Amino acid sequence: MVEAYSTVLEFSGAATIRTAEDIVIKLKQALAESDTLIIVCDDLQEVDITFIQLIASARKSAMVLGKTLQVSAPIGGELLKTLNRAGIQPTGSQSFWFQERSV
Amino acid sequence: MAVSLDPIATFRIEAQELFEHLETVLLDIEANPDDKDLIDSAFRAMHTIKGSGAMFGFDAASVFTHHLETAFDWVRKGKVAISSELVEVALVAKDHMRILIEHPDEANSSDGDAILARLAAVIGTAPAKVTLTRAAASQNPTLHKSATYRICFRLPVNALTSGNNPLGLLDELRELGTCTVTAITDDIPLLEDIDPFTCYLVWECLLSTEHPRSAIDEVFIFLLDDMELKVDIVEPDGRRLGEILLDRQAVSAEGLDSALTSQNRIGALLVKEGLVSSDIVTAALAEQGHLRGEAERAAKRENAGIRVQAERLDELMDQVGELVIAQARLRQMADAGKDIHFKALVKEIERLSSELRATTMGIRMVPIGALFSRFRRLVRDLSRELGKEIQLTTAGEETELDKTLIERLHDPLVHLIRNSLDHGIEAPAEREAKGKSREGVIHLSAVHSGAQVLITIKDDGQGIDPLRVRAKAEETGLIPSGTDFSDSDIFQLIFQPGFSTAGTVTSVSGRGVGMDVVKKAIDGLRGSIDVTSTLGVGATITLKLPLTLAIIDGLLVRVGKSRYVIPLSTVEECVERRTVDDTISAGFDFLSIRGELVPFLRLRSLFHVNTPSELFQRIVIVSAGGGRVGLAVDQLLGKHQTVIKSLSKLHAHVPGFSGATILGDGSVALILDIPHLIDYGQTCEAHSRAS
Repeated sequence: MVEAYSTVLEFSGAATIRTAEDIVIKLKQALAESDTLIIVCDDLQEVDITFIQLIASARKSAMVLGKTLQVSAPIGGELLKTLNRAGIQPTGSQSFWFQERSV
Repeated sequence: MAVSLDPIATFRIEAQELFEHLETVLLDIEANPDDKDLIDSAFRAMHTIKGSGAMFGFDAASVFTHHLETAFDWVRKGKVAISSELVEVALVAKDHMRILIEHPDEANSSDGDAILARLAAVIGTAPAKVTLTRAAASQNPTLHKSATYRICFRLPVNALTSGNNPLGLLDELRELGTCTVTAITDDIPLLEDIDPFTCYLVWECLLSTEHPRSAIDEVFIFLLDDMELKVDIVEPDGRRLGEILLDRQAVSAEGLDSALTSQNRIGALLVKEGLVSSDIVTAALAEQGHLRGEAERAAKRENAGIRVQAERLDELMDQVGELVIAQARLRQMADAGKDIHFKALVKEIERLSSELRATTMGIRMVPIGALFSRFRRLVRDLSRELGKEIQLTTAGEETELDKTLIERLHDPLVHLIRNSLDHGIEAPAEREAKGKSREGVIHLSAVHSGAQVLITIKDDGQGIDPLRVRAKAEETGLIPSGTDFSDSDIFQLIFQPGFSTAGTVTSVSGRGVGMDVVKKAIDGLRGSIDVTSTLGVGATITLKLPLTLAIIDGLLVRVGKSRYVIPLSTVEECVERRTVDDTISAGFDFLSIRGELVPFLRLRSLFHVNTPSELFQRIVIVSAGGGRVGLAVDQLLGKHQTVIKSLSKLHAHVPGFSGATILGDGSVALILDIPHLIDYGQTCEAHSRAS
């Protein structure tokens, strides 16, 4: 029986086009190493479209690989504000963004 | 009957409402500078005034407003912070805009320049040097018919690396109206294939806006050559999801029909069948929600009401008044005859006429809140001028009054509030020394009380000193020295012409001009004023006003051969008294009602009636000035719907009558003005005793 691994990947500060390359590397590594990837965004101060695209891409990859990706973000935090501004709807394929909340 | 519909006049009425709204919002912003909704609301009001002004030829107003609008656009975008100075200059600018629209001939361009210079200093730049696109927008104002657009766009792949922020573009779209944005993530590749600097997202937006189609292009102006942009007009017709997907060409008619044969939700089915992606269904559902919302908003706008000219309402009221008089005549005819069917018909017409009267009067009723909100600025500006800290609080804004009453209440209330500001509320240091908070409070409230409305102006200032008022009244000869007066009577002296206890005359008050004007104005509205005060704690002035000036319920009475109407709202009870008791009581004009002595006036002697008196007198007990007074009449004829007609100029100054009404038989009955009638009666009695 194979043991399921889960990894918590925490992002803080800025998650923007300036840090996008680093984020891709971290996401690839974390996804390769775990069955469940939990992305914690509690301390994000700045978010742009690149971060949203990268997480959406990681989620797609996780599904193809049969793995799980969850996002945890505080209510009223930068990530949720940016998702709202970007028009990411809390239904359909993008509902995963809105399933985990921290206060 | 023809009332001209002058579009300029209509615009001015609408602009007036916008100015009042803008003033209220600006004052709210001063108290809550971080409230984005308030800032947006102020911006929208400015934007509408600018656009509508240009459309109706008020170019100077439009150009001037454009600068203020720009300043607030910068506030919205976080480039300029709200400050007390900015609100101050915005309020002054609003006043200037109002002059430019209401009295353009009186507008002084140098005043406008000075205001713009102040505005430029406050926001740290010259607002005249705004970007050309915004300036151009002023040439092409709003007021286009609202339309809903479906905007699908895909930015160039290098959009992010070339410095474009899609979030900013979406924000700009939202600024144009009601916007529902859905991001489509279908094109985002797997992690191993992704280029983090490429823009993969595609957006579908539903925008309901009054801006022209070109405003959408303006948002994407620097990207238009390299991006994909599709803009279609969508009718807000409450379409079904399948129809929306067909319209978007997201699904074929065959695929849709096939899915529809199942009983499951169409969106889930189409995704399951692999015909459309989940994001596309989400976008279509968002569109459906947006269109439903728009349809509801449109329906609400349609149901919100129509604008009717005040003259038409006055005409309607006059006609209802004539109908009520005609109905009274019909009633008299029916009473005289024996035809049961005719009587039943008259009763039906009476019911309908009464309902029509109530409905018409209801149409004329407007909430007093709009009047109250005008005083916020007055209190703000005057308290600054006087170096005081004063807060205006209000309650009962929803209380409705006849529109004519509301219009005529403005000036008296201004006088009373100014008086509270100047003489009532103490300076902050003085308040602190007395153990009060630095900030004084003026509380304005309105409440219905039977057929009357009570409007109260209450302050927590120093109150009115009855000894000082008495001393001043004795000094000026208003009252004889040493006369026994209650505090309530003493306070009424402040409404005497020229009465003022103020040691100094300020620009606000102190000349003794105003309170007598207030009294006259309230008397003219058939109202009364009560004053209560506790020294050092504050004063309360209560205005008691009738609900309407047009038709009242009255008690019809007979004195001699003439008939008179007593406003029913003042009547408390009726008692009977033997006329012979007049001789027994040796002329004492008091009744003992349940142990309480109530003074009464004999209207027969007051009106010099010489016809033989009845065996019994009827005494109508009315409330007046906080007390009860009886009016002795010959006969009570019953309740009467009284259409008030003004007295002619010749009779307008006869004391004791507030108007006249036409009775069913075509004769005229005078309407008794109770407070003045009592004053007149007391004067007559004093004269007769003296003689």
